[in-house]
Amino acid sequence: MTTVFNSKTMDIDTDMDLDFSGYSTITNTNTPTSDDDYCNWNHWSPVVNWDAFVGPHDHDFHHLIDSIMCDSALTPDHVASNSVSFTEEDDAEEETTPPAGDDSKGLRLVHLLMAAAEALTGATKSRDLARVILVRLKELASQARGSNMERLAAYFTDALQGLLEGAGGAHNNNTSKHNYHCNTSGPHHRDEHHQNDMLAAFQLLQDMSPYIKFAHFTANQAIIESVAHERRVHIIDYDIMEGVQWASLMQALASNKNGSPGPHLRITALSRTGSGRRSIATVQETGRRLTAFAASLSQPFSFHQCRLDSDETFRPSSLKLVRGEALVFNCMLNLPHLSYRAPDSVESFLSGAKALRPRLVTLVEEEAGPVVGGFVGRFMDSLHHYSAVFDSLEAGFPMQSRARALVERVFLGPRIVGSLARTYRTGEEQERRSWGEWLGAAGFTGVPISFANHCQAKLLLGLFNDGYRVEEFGTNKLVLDWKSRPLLSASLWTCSSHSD
Amino acid sequence: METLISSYIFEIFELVMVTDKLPEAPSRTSKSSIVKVEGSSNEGGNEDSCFTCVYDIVALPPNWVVELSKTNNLSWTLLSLSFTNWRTHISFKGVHTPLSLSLSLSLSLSLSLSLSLSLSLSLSLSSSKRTLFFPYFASHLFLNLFGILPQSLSSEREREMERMFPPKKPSTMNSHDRPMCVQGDSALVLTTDPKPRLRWTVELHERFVDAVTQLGGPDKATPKTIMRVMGVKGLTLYHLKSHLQKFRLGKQPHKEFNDHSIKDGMRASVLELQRNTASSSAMIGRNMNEMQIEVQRRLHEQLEVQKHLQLRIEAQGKYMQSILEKAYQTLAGENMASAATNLKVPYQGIPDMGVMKEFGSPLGFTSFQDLDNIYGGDHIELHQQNMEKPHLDHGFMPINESLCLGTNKKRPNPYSGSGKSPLIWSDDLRLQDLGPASSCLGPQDDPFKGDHQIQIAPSASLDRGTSTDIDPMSEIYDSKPVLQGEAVVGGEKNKFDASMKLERPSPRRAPLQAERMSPMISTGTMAQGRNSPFG
Repeated sequence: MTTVFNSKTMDIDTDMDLDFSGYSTITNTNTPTSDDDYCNWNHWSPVVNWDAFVGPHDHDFHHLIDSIMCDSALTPDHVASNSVSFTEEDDAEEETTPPAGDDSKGLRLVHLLMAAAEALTGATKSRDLARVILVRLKELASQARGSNMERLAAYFTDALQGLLEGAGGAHNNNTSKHNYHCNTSGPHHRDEHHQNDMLAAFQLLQDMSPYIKFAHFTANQAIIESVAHERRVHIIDYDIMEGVQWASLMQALASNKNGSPGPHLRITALSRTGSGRRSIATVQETGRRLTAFAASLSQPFSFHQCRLDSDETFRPSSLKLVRGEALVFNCMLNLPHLSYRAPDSVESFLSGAKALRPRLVTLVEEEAGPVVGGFVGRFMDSLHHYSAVFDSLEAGFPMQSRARALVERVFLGPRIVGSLARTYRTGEEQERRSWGEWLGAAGFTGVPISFANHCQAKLLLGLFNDGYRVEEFGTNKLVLDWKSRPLLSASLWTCSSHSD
Repeated sequence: METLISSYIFEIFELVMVTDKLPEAPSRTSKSSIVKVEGSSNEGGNEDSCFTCVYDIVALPPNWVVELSKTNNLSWTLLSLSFTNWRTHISFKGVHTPLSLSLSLSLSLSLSLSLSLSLSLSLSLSSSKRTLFFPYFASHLFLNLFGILPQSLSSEREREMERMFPPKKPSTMNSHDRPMCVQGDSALVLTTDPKPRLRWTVELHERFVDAVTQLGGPDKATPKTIMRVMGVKGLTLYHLKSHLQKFRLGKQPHKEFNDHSIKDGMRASVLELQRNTASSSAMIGRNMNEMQIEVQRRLHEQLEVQKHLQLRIEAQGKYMQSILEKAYQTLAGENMASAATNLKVPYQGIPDMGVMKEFGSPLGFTSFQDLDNIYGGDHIELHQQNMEKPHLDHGFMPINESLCLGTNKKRPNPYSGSGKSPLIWSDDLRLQDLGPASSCLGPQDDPFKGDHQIQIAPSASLDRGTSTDIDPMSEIYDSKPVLQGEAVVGGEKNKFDASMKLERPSPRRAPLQAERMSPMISTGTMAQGRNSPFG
């Protein structure tokens, strides 16, 4: 595919690239009006049509860029970790050649990605080759423009680049993130901007795709059914985030019986030490919000926090339980907007659940295909998975490329990077297993999905694109498909006393 | 049991035709997994092959079986439609001409209670749709039979009712609808006509609805029990019977099924439905009642689910809205902080959340602590305040400007401050919410223009569909109907209003609308006309 000669010349380029990347953040902050920044911004803010500002409005643009520059420097954009020179190159090329969104290009990208992944692993491990291929990929694909496949390829290229650099030990992809998350000394508002981006993207994601609502509503319906005659319900939520899931549950509980108030609802959210979206402060804020919402529905409600250990281990003893309440464990994993959770942490949560014999465990997780062929196999599975996700988002919002770009940049890009890095790190020996299987093996029994729940999922999907399907697997699992590719599954489990 | 058939079997009914180009693996035929091909007899593939399809449809219980017989390439005969476990209760017989594929079906249903009703429906498919049958091994002919039936029936009913009970008879009633004859405290209105005619006044209807709910819903209630419960003199079984029928039909939200179930290729299919008065006799299944009850139960459940789903989506949306409001508020607080520093206003400390809240609230976002006061609060006044806010022109500076104004005041009284906007939960907040979030980045050039209708379509149609009756959320949030928003918003926001009419006609939309405007106005993007496509 690449000649030796080519590889030599390209090698020099990439070396330069690496050299540059050390300074990339500095360049960003110091020369805010460079083309590179323009490029970043172009796909950073989907609502703003930056194209309108090139040319005659150039000075306006610069002014604006100046005023908001401090944010741009800190966007967790992986482009930032790449070289300045290459992005410029990309721009030049992209602008002259119209984006070719045909299949052959997509195929070419897939082949290149595969080759790069192969070059990074296995017997034929050759970092130089990988570097060359990545350079070529960067030329071909851009996160901001192009077809789905091109953008997807760009994210995967970034992820592979991260692996390459991480493997070399020269650069740690975490440094930028580290900077970003730990900028407590710096002005606070940078984080907030990003937070708002997150929220906007979260909202968009909810509107564009049924993933989140499917997960929330399926779990909630199951909870409602399982606690139908209870006076007190206690939900332990593994990852509450903004608490969006519980609004609809409260609504359902409050309006369940005619007039009479619903059962008392208690939610214990697990909080992690650290900053960002899952810090204790965020969880507290969520608690306040949920309490206000419950009050508006006159739903009896109380909110608690349960702090996880520093390594995110869950200790059942740290929960405050009340006798006679129906216990529900809610475990939403890998939804597009959620951040990654270490398997150990999830396992501690689920085994803690077993000890407490909950009425119901609701589990939502990502579906992965059967994996063969080590890293490359997983890489391809991941590519397949995310291409389905990208496609589904495109189908949901066909013309909102900027809105999609926001969702992709905020949620999917980092997720691709993270998942590939983990796959790469853990290597081939660790067999990936779904948490549903884990629960089954741990002695949980499935709770059948009711007709109403199934029906609700179908109705919900009916509001979105035709490509979505819901399938029932076994009796206790609903799988959300995009064009026959399973993406997400919701399963219901119990470990109450009589099932022992 | 004299209920109309249509109240038993309705909702989507999708009829799918499967050609003989079936692949070996039947599962592949389910391009849409709604349809499963159970098997094919006669796979010899001659012209008379028959296929049996099983429907696994949301609206209908599974196990419906249809048999089709292929007479030639273009024409199909529907042999029978039946329930798997209870054979041949309903049967269709159909013939159709090759090209127009008009299929005239007669549905003969007989109940054991000697109610028989024959439905003849004709289905025609234009010849241009021929392509459907060839390139795809399975083409789907969605016969939205029962989705349509109740509507046409109910409109017919409507007319019938009007004939029977004229809404107003000037000759017999005085101008203010004073009844000629009032029975006790009831609101029963009878005309002087020899034939007892009845006007269903609002009060009477309320009593009727109460009675029905007391009896466990429209499907459980019978005219006789309703009569007993209502206890209104002069009301006859006859009145109640027709009103109950009407009520049952009117309660079914069908519309969204039509909207959603007619898939792309099916748009051209024309569905006509005629009700024949001629009764025909058919085999009376012993299990007919059982089946009907099952169907009814399922449908009822589905409707419940649908209603709940709608409410849940709303609740989630409203909650989401609150988060976003909060976020903008914080954002606004930040901007002000930066403005303050720009203006060399002494400003101590990093802007923590509390400070931002203080600063944010005059900007037009409600701080969260006020939510309780605002739910069900007085919206109108607040909206007026909102609208009186100066319309600012550019995205970036005005924020700072208004924020600076904010600093001069102390924290204003929540309900009298300048432009303190109520936090109204919106269930369909969409892209426009991105606007305020990113409006701080600069002027908006309306990149979404023209796309918006597409985005809101799903929720809009859902709204239309299920806005029927009980809506606890609306009770909670609509302590006052606010029509102010529409009036205020008028003018340049025509699209806004138009799309609003598409959605539920509830006045609840109005505050939403006004609310939607306020952040945009406050961020001054209106000059670019950004808000118009976002309604």
